[in-house]
Parts: sequence; C-alpha cells; structure tokens
Amino acid sequence: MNKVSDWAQRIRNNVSTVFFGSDDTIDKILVALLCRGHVLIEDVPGVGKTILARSVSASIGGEFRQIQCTPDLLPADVLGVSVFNPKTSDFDFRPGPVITNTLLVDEISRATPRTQSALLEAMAEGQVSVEGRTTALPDPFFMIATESPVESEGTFPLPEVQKDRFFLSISIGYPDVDSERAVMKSRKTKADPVKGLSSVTELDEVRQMQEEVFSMHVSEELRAYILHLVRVTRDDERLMIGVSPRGSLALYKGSQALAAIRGRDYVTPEDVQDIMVPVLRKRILLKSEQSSRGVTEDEIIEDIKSKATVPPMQDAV
Amino acid sequence: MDEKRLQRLRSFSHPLTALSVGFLFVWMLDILLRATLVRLLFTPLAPSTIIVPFVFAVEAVISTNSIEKSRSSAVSVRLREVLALVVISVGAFLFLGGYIAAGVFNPVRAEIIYGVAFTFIAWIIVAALHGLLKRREAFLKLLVGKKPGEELQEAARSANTESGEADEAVRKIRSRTITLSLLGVIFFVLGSAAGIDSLPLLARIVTGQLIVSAFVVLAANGWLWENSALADGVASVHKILAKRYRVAVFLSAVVVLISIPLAGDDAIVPPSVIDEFMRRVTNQLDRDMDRTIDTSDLFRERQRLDDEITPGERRSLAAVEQNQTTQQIARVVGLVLLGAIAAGMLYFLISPLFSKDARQRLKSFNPKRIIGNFFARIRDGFRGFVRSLKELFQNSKRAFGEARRVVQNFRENSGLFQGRSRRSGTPKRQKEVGKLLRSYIKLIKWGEKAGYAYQPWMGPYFYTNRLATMVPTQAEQLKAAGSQFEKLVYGKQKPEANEIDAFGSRVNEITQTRPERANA
Repeated sequence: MNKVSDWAQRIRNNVSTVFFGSDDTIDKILVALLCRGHVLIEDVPGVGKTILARSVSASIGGEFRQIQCTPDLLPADVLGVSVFNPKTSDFDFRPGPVITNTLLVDEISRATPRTQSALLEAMAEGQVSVEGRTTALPDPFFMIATESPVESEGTFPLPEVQKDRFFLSISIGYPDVDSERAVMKSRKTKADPVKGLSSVTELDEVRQMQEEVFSMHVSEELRAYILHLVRVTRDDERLMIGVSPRGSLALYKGSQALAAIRGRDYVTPEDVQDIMVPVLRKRILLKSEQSSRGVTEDEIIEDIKSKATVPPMQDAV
Repeated sequence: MDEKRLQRLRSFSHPLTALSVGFLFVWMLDILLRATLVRLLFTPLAPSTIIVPFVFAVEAVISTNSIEKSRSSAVSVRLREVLALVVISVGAFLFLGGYIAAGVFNPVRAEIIYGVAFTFIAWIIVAALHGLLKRREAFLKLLVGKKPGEELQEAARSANTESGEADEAVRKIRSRTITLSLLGVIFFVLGSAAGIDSLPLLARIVTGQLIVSAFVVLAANGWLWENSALADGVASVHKILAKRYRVAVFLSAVVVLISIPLAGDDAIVPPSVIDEFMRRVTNQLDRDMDRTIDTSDLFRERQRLDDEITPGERRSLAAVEQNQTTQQIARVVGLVLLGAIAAGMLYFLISPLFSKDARQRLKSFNPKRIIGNFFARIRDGFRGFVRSLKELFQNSKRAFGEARRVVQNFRENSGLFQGRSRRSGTPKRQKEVGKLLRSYIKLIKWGEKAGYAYQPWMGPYFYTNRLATMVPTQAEQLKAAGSQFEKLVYGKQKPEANEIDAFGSRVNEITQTRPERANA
C-alpha cells in the first residue's frame, strides 16, 4: 500500500456510506481528480449520478458549488458578473459558482452552447475571463458534469471539442439486487444522506497526491503499448476521428493514477486496459454508418483492446 | 439460437460443406490432368495418392476451428501449417511412391512436386471456404441464448456488422460452389472429348459434386433467409429449412436410383448406353429418310432364316428380343428422366447467373474496354515506375526518408511486426525478459491444460487470477506468481538474477502438479 492507495481507500469508504455502486466507479472519479481532469457522468436518470458527484465532493473537502443547467442559464450565471457599486462608483466583480474547488454541473446538456462554451476555458485553462478580467480558479479545481443519454428534446449535445476536455466519461449502470436493497434500507429518513458526510482529506493532501501520481513508473514496453492502442484508433476504418495526442496523454496519466490507487508504484497492462474505455470513449468519433448500425464507441475500443498483444508477450508470439 | 445448433454447425455442417465442395473440385481437376496433360509430361503417382490432399483438406477445417477457439495469431499458425504441409506431403508422396523403400530420398521430381502442389491447392481452397463460413458462425455466436422475439431481434440488430458480413460470406460460398460445379461439368465434357480412360470415375464425381452443390446452394439460400428471419426475432427457421433439405434428399435419391441400373458397375452413364441410344436414333432417322429403298431382298432373307429355325428356337429368340427391347425402353426412359432432372438441377444452379444484377453486369461487359484498360494500367504502371525512379534519383534523401516512414508505419500498425517494433531495448533487458517469459509461457501451457485458454490481450495479473479461480488448489501460488511476474517485468527495479530464478522455481512448483479444475 502506498500513500495514494491509502488516501483513495479513505474516500472510497466515505462515499460508500451513501453511494451503493461499485468501488470501480469511485476509483475512476478519483483517477480524474488525481490527473487534474474533469469527469462526465453519463447515465439514465435516477441511478445516483448526482449522489456520487456530491459525495465525492463532500469527501475531498474544499468549497463545493452546484449548477443545475437549464436552457435559460446564461454564461454570466456561471462565470460571474460585474455589478455597479454606488458607494465606490465602480463595478465590483461578483464571482459565479465556477470559482470553487469542486463544481457539479448537473444535466450539462440542458445548458445552451454559449453557456457550455463558457465552461471550456475553466476546464482547460483553470481560469475564467469576464469583461476582460482574468480570474484564476482555485487549486484543485475539479468539475463533475452529468448528462442523460436518453433525452434529446430541449437539450444541446456537447460539441466534440468539449467532450475531449473531459478527462474521462463514465456510466454507473443499474445497481445489483443487493446494492438496491441497501439503498432502500439506508433511506429511512427524509434527510439528505450526503449532508451527513464529512471530508476525509484536505486540499493540501489532494495536491500532494496529484504530485505523487507522476512518479509512477511506466516501462518502455507499456509506453509503446499505449501508443499502439492510440494509433490503431487513428487508422481504424470504422472511425471518423481517432484519439488525439491529448487522449494518449490522458491514457498514460490515467494508467499511472489507477496503478497508484491500486497500491503499486508501477503500471501494468491491466491498468491501461481498465481505464481505456472511460478515457477514450469520448475522444473518438464513429462514422455515421457505424452509428446507424448501432455500433458503440465502447465496442470499438473493446475490439481494439482484444486485438492488441500485451507486452512483453508480443516478443513470444 | 441454441448452443447445440451452433456447435453442430461449427463441428459438422460448415466443415463438411467446405470439405466436400473444395475437395471434390480438386479431385476432378486431378483426374482430368492425370489423364491428359500430366501423362504427356511425366508418369504421375498412383491415383490413390489423392488421400494425401484429402488428409490435408481435413486438417485445414480442423485447424480453422482450433485457430478460432484459441484466438491465436492466424498468420503464424497458417505459415507453420504450410511448412508442415510441404514437409509431410513430400514425405508421404516419397513413401507412397515407393521411393523411400528403394532408397531414393530426392524429392525434386515432377510427380512429387505435382502431388505437393495439389495438396496445397486442396488445403487452401478448403481453408478459404471454411474461413468464409466462420463469419457466419461469428454472427450466430452473438445470438446464442437469446430468447425468440424482442430479445433476439435486438441482439440480431445490434450485431448488424456481423450480420452483413455473414450474408456476404454466404453469398460468396454460393457463387463459388456454383462456379466450381460448372467447372466440374466442363472438366467432364473435356474428359469425354479427350476420351480418357477414367471417364466413369470422373462422371461419378461430377454427379456427386452437382448433388453436393445443389445442397449447398439450397442451404446457402436458407441461411440468408434465416439471417433476415433472425433480425425479425424468429428463431426456429432451421426447422422449416429441414423440410427443404428433405426434398433435396428425395430428389438426390431419385437420381441415384435411376442412375444405378443404368450405370451397372462401371459408370453412371456407360458410353455403351449412349452409343446404343444414338444408334437407335440414327437408325430411326435413316429409316424415316430412306423409305424408297427396296427391302424385298432383306424380306426374302428374313423369310429364309425363319424357315430354317425350329418353332422352339423361334420362341426363344422372340423372348430374347422382347426382353432386350424392354431393357432398351427402360434405359431410354431412364435417360430421359435423368436428363430432365440434370437439366432441372443445372437450371437451379445457374439461375442466379441470370438474375437482374447479372444481366446488368452482362450489359456493361465490354471486352474491348477491359483489354484497353488492362493495357492502359500496364502503361500507367510503367510510367509511374519510371517517374518514381527519376524522383528517387533527383531527391534521394527525401525519398528514403519517406520510405522509412512508410516502413515504420507498417511496422507499428501491422500485427505481424508489432512485436518486433515494441521489443524491449537493450540486449540485456531482452535476455532478462526472455528468461521470465519462458517461465511464464510454461505457466500458460499448464493453465491451458487446466482448461483456461490464454489470449494475447490478457495481462499476467488478469490471467493468473482467472486461472486461480479455476484451479483453487493452486490459487495462492498462481496469484503470487502473477504478482511476482508483473513486478519483475513492469516494475521500476531491474530484475535480479535470484528474483528471476525464484519466479522460475515457483512456476516449476506449480507446473509439476496436475491441474485439477474446480468443477472437475
């Protein structure tokens, strides 16, 4: 066990008291946090997307804000606005909810493209610009966005460029029978279960863990393996757009973070394979004929994975 | 779609289809060549040596199934097979030809090379046909266990790509079967024209090939129908198909029943029967056309003979004549029936060639344009080659850089070379990893004996943990071995000699035990 693994275990235990999904899902959110990335949770309504996001936020401490997206939400509502102060005869900047440590953007696809774009700079640069004034976001800045894949009316699908800004995308899925039973048992009072959660880590510790992840060893063969997986997507005839260099870097860093969470100081092929689908699924674009046939990004990635020989076994094949 | 039916298709129907269609064609070609061209050039080995191509044709279908099962690298396995085919078939032909017994071991002989070439042709045709049918299996595999109705419909529609590939593969099987049978008929015609001795045998095989082809075309049409039915959620189509097969069996039985009395022991349609039939037709025509001939002499001669024989002899002769006439009538009727059935089967086989698509293709067929294009392509190719050479000499540095880039891309993207391109850096490192790999492969082989097949995409931790659940008696040791291996291979510290040895010893400990599965 290393420090990161111990830290992740604490958060996992805390989140598990209110979220009854798999630890694997929590681990993936922590991977994004450790890599200074952002998460898109995409699933049908009612499976616990918001509970998961809020409980992770509550566990890591710091300031937490939530934006409930609607079509009439304006960029100023997100970034902040300057208000005239009659006492000083000047404009005072009132920061929006984006200036926080953890931001939950609920139902992001309900916001208009203008508002979605306003979040772009925050996600990519760690700063926001309003009326010529640039304000740095706190460190760490961690954004969790949720969206439902089933509703299309009154929604604005995220543009490809914005999807690429999310470090990884996950879906929770329906819980198994035992988990669902546990959910029923736990909801005995009206009280919001997440409100009872206290943080189990400090922001300094989060920053320290983020630094720690970079020291995870990745062997030369595994680096070549990651590159191979990424390059295959660029030549795949079923895809219109393959994984960008940002995507290969995300896969590399994500594997390091997952290895650290699993208590190792080196990365294995399983780390790469386990993080591959969440990291790459929003970074590829299917050709229209594939989409119309019902082929999904996950299937393509799984197919690519199953055809690549793990190192060093390629030397033996 | 139930697992048993898929198993039947995988182990019986598909291999048998590929084997019968492919091998019968090769056999016919062999008979024709032996009796014509080959005989002029050299003395071929005994016809019974066809057993060697047959054995390798069987091997082709078995290995296709096993490659699919083990998901191993098909290219390397196939290359090994070709090598084994050449070596074993050379040995077999030397042995069967009596060369080894005579102390002759030099395989560079026309008859041996001819045999090996035929073995290779049989192997590659059967493997190619079976490979096509594998695509259908891949589609059906996705539907195993799905309940008829919505669930099956959903599964079939989500497997759209596989369904399309399966349809295309079945269409290819159908068209290739028709082509091979037509070639068989052409071989028979050529053999008849050349008056080869082995014509009766060739006739038998051509008939067999036509019957097989009829079945395959029927089955292929049924498979296409089944694919579309599956997309609508209907699962029990094969029961309806079985009725069609029964009709085909009945028709084939009729053909065989008619052909046996006609053929006797020598041939399905002996040349003597054809001669007799043609003579009778010619005689009839002669009589009809030559009514003016004076037959009084013939009549008188007949009268004289009639007067000379006794009444008993006359009765016997009449009985013999009547019997012969009955037989001849039966033969003619049989031939007409057989001809009608053969024509029907031929129409059934070639009717797709007259479809709307085929007619369209025929309309656009322009030999002059094709020949013109052919020479234009050669001319363009030559000009392009000259231009490339010029550019290469004018800007050799950039050209070689480009070539290097192409090779590099190929190496990176090709599964065949990806291993080499990612081979670990220094020779020392290769040596260390090589030692560990040998032990790990030993463990994998042991695991495969325990019933858990290794796939190249599986990482060591994943594989050993899955294996541990199957072999609980060695679970702890297996998990420890998996962790140890990944630490040594992917870890930051370079593996020490004693650590490599320790891993080897652990693997030896595991592999010395007999793999006992949890459910055994």
